[in-house]
Amino acid sequence: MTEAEIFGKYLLGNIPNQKSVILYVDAMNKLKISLDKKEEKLLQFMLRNPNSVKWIDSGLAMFRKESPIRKKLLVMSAILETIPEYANLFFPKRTSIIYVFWVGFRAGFKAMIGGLMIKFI
Amino acid sequence: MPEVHDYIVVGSGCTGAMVAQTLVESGVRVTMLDVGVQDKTYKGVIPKKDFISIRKEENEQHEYLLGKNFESIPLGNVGTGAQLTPPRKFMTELVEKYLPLVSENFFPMESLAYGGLGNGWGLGCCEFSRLELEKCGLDVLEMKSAYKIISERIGISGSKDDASAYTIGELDNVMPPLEMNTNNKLIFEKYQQKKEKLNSRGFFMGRPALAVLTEDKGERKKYNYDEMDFYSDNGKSAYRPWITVDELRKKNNFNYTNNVLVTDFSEENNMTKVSALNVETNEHVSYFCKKLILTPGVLVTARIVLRSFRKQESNLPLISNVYTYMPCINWKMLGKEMDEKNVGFAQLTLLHDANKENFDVAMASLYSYRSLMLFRLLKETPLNFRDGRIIMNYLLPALTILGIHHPEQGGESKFLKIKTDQDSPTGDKLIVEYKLTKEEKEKNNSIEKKFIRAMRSLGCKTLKKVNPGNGSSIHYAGTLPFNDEQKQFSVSHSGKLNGTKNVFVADGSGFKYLPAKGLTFSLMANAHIVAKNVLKNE
Repeated sequence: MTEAEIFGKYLLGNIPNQKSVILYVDAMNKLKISLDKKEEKLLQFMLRNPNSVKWIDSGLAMFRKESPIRKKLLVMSAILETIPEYANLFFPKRTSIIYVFWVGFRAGFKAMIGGLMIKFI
Repeated sequence: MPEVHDYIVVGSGCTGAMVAQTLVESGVRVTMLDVGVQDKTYKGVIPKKDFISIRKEENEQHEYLLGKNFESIPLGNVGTGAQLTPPRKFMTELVEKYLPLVSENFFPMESLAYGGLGNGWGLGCCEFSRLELEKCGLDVLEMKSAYKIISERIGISGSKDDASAYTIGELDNVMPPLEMNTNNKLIFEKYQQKKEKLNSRGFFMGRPALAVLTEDKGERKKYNYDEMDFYSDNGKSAYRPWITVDELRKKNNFNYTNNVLVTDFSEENNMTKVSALNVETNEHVSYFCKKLILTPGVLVTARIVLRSFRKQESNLPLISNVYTYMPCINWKMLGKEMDEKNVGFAQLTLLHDANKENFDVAMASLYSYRSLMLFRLLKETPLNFRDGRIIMNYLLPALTILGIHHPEQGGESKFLKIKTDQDSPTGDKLIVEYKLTKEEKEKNNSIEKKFIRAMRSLGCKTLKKVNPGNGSSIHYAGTLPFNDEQKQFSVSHSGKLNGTKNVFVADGSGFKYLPAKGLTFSLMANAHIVAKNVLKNE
């Protein structure tokens, strides 16, 4: 899988459509987000282990907010938000508060694990 | 012999449009000089649909929601103009090249666009109170009468409520307000219940007065709740100065010249020579006129005046409202659906008038959030993108953005000057220093804490406080303070630039104080008064 597909799958739960992948590649060419050695190593780890993306994103969000990897994920998230097929995922919806609390708890837990991961990778 | 223009107006923003309209309606010949950048990228690309339909149906929406170069995805820190969407980015085009500015503590937004900063105006219209007008150095009676004229021209909606003393004041030609969404209705209901207590603490809430139509006005259509406010000017329901300039361009006694950046002027034998740079050819050009009226915005006017008086070493004072915003959650809206109909403009206004004198009032506007999209919010959360989306989707219907403006006056550490810069097309750059004193910071902090408590009383929890930096209010004034004693670097009450015979300043340069209420409406009223004075000075 490509970087776009891995990030898209993480954000959507499924491999994103071709249009999102093309837009992501175009965005990366235009935005030129540069990574230092440490970030590049982290990114390569994520691409080799797609299941790690959720942990590392959580860790970065909590402990290294300005990371270029977060910027790449932001770009993919913004692109997916403008794809009609995925529009409903980005609209407000009724959700049970218990589920929201669970998601919050889950995010916090992932951030702790992710925090450790970004420290040691 | 070169052509001699009767009246030259510099700039096409809110003040330029009003000056030009007043002059043109009096029958004189007017030439407007303007850089006049227009949006060529997104004009005609955005479908005439509402925001939700676009999101669900349009395959190419990324072009105008994110930008053709993805320029709207915020990769840096939140700063001035963070809310500019791709179709509004043209407002700041060419600014970096032609208006270089260096500062460590002041981050303004300037515009060389057709219609100027008015293209992104939040449309809030507030009459300044008697005390505020006096402190600004403006004539109360003249301003009250000018407010009526401007409101007739641009069309204002609002309502009579607890805020109207601070917003529509004595205006009687106001259209009904825009419809509120459920989130704001609930906040307003809570205010009605707790009104006595909040009023005793100096807080007053009501509907904002906005330059947006709720009834058709000529060719302009009433607002249709398409929520595309940050992207397009559908139906011209929101007032933008280009609407006026477009109308004026149909008249025989008005001439519009674009691609012209006015750099300085000089006077000789009752004639004013206006020097400029053609931004297309980079050639220096000159115009001659009997009367020159400067309205390019406070910072550009300061550059022109400093160059013209050849006083590079001089510091000019500067005033800019301090702006802070706070995302808040309305508990009662949690778990509820967001209304289909929504408005991007402010829906409520909350004022803090500690002494109940309608003076030194801090003003907050309440906005709902949807059409600026989720990704801008996700970037600011400490959550991973996937879980963050689920949580933000839940919170969005309950989210209210409270944008607070503080009243502001000048100070020793608030000034600007120009410095030679050979790399700049104009040969110079603007240097700005803007520091608040410890007392000013403490005062603003204390007021913000009061707002947080007031919002708590209204059932809203403040999530965080964001200060995007000095200059982010996009309200600038006070560089040439009103003075009738012919002091250099000041304007007389008629608007004439002291030390000149035929040069007038009709933007906010003369204002000696900035109320928190938003100055555009007052700028336009003052511009009309200056135009009348220019005509009297024949």
